[in-house]
Amino acid sequence: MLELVVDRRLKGFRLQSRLTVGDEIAALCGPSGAGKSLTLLAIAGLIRPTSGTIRINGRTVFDSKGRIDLPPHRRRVGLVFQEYALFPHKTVTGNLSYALPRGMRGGEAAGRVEEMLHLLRLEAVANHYPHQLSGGQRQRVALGRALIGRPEVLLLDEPFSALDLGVRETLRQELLEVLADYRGTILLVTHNLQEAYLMASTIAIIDAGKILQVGSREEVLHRPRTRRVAEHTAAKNILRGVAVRDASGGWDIVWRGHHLRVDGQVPVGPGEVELCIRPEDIRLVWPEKAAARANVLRGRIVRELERGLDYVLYVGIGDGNDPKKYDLEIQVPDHLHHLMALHVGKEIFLSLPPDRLHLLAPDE
Amino acid sequence: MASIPLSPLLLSLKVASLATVMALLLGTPIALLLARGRFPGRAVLESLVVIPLILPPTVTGYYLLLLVGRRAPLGRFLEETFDIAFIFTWQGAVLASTIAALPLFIKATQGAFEGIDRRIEDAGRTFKPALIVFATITLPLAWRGLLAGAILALARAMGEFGITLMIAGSIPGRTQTVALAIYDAVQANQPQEANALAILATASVLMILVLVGRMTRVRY
Repeated sequence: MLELVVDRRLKGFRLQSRLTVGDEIAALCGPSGAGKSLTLLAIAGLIRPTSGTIRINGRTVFDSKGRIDLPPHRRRVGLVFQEYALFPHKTVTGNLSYALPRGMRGGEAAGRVEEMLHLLRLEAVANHYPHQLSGGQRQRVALGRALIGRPEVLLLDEPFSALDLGVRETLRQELLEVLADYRGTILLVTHNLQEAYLMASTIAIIDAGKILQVGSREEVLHRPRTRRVAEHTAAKNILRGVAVRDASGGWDIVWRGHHLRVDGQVPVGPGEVELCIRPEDIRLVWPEKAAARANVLRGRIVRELERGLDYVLYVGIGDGNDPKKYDLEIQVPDHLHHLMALHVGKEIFLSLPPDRLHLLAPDE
Repeated sequence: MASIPLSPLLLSLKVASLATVMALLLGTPIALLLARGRFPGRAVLESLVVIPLILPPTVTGYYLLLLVGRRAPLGRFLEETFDIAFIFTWQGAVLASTIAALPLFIKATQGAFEGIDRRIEDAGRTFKPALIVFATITLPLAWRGLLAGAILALARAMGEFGITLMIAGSIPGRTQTVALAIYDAVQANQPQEANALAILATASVLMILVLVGRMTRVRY
């Protein structure tokens, strides 16, 4: 369990992280320069926050008011650096044993190193130097070095950015397998939302030094709290409408002359609202079945982008045909594209499922 | 053949190696400070450090005279409390060589420290106290730069002339190093002695360089 409230002022940048993570994998996700790595460094004790507190399993490792600032090696935090930062003058064994607590008996230390080499399948390269290793082996050494001291919190800074795209998939699987046996808090930093989704159960979106939303991965992806979160999670379709009371006393959102129904959420009051829907959540419907669906709109494809496995359609509501002006972005799989014989200029019917349409709170 | 004058050579070796050790002890922290520190006055310190490299050695020597001379407060203090005098003594020659060697050592070492990836040291700090990280990570990684700096320092100290002349003088058997002895031999029209001294000096410097090169084969 990691509890964190830190504030660090730098020239032209202010980090204000507020985060609580249980014994799970959480991802801190945001664009570069958002303060992700800075947050990790603060937890590890490698930079000092201007103010705040950091607690690990109830143990205070930093408290600006109580003047507590444990040095990094006494925080029981393991950190895997972005480019791994292995000790170039030490072998794999040397890198691992360096991370063992001081005063550990020789036999026990050798046993722990042996165990870690075995777990990470590094026995064959135990006496190699970092420059003799492959990218995947380096990552495993860095992971082993961070884990061997049995930290209570494991921090991973962009663990895949130093690797070729081709091996990322395999290594992500490997990493998850190794981490499956780890009992503690794992905080992963990444700028890749998909990576965050694949690795973590909780996602925190951070931008410009502020954590905008923390929640389960589904929640963050499908129910972004504000417009900024929606932009960071690539929700793409952000609609500006007006909330009005309908005949039965419920709420409708009027957008481009259409009345849209939203499930599960109520606007604060009548007036302008923003709502969003992800490109993959918009349904294409056959014209003859359109009447049976909710929130059906008629539109025209003004532009399309073939992406190999799927298509992105840019759709103008009504009869628009200017390729630069579109209202919605839709993602459709390849086979559906063929089945419905879609092409630029074609008129289509769309449904915005009420349970996928999501109201956004105003940005603070 | 005239007797080979060994005493200037021995004195030179003693003075130069002591000066190198002094440069190492004084220069390493300064180099680290310059490589890592972000503090007001950093640029001033960085310029101050290279001054002895640029000023005429006699000017540097003159400043040292003003600083540690018998009538200077610092010189008097050192003489009264530690019984160390620099004027016309071999200790003065060590001081002169140290000042001459320091800028070269600091520049080489600073570069070595700057070349180390900070994150490697940060990684170390998550496992061990900062001082141990310095000894087990930083120093081994900067080792080649430190050595290069020390060699430069030694070479510069062996060749020191101007500053030494200003504060230690050229007293045969006491402060006359090889560089000064050769000058005197030439002035006194004794080419044999000058030749012998020159060959000895060259040979000893070569030997040092070869030995150091042997010691520093790197494994990784």
